[in-house]
Amino acid sequence: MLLTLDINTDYRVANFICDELDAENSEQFAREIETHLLPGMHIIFDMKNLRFIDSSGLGVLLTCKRKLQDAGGIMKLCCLSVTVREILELVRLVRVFEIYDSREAAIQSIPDSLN
Amino acid sequence: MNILLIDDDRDIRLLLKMLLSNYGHAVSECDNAPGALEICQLESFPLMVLDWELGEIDGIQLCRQLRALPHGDESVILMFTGRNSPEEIQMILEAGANDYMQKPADIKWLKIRLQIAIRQAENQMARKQAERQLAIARTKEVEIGSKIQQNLLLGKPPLRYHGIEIAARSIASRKVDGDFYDFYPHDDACFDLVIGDVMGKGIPAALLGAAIKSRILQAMNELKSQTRGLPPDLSRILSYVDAEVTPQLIELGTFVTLVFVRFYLEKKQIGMINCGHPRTIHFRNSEKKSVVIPGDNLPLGVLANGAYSVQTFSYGAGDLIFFYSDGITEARNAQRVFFGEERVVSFVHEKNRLPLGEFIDGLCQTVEKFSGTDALNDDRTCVAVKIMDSGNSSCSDVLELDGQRGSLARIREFVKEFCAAMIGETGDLQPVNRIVLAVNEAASNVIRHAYKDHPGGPLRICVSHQDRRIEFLIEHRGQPFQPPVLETERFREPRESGMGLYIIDEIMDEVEYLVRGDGWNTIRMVYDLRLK
Repeated sequence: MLLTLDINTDYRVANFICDELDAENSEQFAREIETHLLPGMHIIFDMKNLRFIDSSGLGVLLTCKRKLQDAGGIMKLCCLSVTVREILELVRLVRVFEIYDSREAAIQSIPDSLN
Repeated sequence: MNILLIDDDRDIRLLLKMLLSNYGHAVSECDNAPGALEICQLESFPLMVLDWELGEIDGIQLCRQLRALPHGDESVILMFTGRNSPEEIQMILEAGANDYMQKPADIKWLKIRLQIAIRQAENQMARKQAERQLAIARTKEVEIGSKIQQNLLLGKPPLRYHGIEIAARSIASRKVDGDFYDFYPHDDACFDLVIGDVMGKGIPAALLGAAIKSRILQAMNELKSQTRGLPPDLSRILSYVDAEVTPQLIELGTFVTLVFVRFYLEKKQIGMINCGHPRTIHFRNSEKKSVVIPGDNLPLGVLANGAYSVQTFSYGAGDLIFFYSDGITEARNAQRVFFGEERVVSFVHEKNRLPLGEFIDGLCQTVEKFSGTDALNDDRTCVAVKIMDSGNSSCSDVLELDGQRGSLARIREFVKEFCAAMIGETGDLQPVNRIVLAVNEAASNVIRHAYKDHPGGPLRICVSHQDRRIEFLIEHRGQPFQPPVLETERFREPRESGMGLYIIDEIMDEVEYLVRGDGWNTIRMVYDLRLK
């Protein structure tokens, strides 16, 4: 298992347990998160344990974002390590994702009716 | 053929149309100059018959305007007029008409003159068609020549000689010429290189260059069987080639200049035979001096059974040895002054510390700027060999494992350990993460794509560093691939795939995808700490 989920009614926080997301485990990650990509859902990925992500992992994150958006949901990232943030900056994805320094800030950004 | 009649007299047009139609030609008519000009801008007519008196714009003016159209010189124009003074006939010719017929005309003479004009137009059409086919054939020749050049004339520098960096470039002139170069690795401590130039231009010169290269390889293989696999003497190789090709070169009336060089890496020595090629330039780092190594052998094809003398000289850390073709030194500026050897020596002396690719590009740009044009009269070919500084001693390591996804973590760990150890405690470790990511992406591509049909094939990660340049060779036996040309623009939009190649290209300073002939394929990447 790569993730644990904190489930609220209208938002979920997905906590990475693994410290690396690459071509070996990105497909498993995609399977684990798929069931939570529900219409209108807000998902926050807490990435504090993640030390490395490659293009396979980034591709799955982008797919999640697209699917959620298509279903009227929103995806946020929080607690990025320096390394992971640098990787996102390298491939110009920092402005594609909503990124927060802390889990609390990400939760607070959710509209009050849902929080 | 299509024929256009331009005459304001309807009866004349009817008569001419009847006569020309009887010969089987399609005839169009017009009674005024503006209308005729408009028709001719849409359609071409191999033969046009004009009247002089056409109204505001007469036949003389119309003729000039027709000649000024694109392809206006391809038609035969016959002026049909009652004017017959020598001055008027002169005006007709000066306006660009091919011939004239006088009005009124006896019908028999009219038929004869029309037939002559038709024959003239048919000959003109045939000539233009032949010219077009010749132009197509010439373009095709250049395309073929370019392919010959890339595939047969230009070898790939060897990769795995520690302490040595090699760059080679040939910029073809508009027509393909006979410049060639190639590399012949013998073992880990010895390789040969040859750079040559066949006199003449075009495919014949290119084919001769390919033949010379092939003969050199043949000579090496043949003589190696006599030396139990040891590299044969340079002079023996060249004498063998000379015996094979010089009689043919003499018969063809051509010759080949070349430099044939052997690098002895353990002894740090070079053996060289220069056969009439531009002199080699050697920057000696220990003396901070650039010297020109003269050559005293004749080109191949000048004298049969030539004897070849070998020059030997030593090299040291930080040296640059530069070979080039006369397309560099014989480039001329608008004042007809040659670029010359002295300028090449100055460039080598001033710019030898540049990365080799930039060094060669810089020289080619300098020559282009000097000549004031990017059009080349001759190929410009360079081979540069850099002896790495011994500032940081080279070291290397190899990781061999199965090409499967589970291997990626081990690969990252291996690269991280090597780079962290190399950079050392006082160094900046930030590049390590970027390097790990790039190597991970390359290995991931091999695992997912090259080994897609047979996962778990062998994977070898070789890493070495010299003079703060870290080189990675990712070797595999899967499907080779050439990455598409990256479009940086597309990463302004989020993409779910294709990021791996972009990441590699962004992080690494040099990336090459190489197909070797022995079943192994290599991704070569270099991270140059000197550039950061």
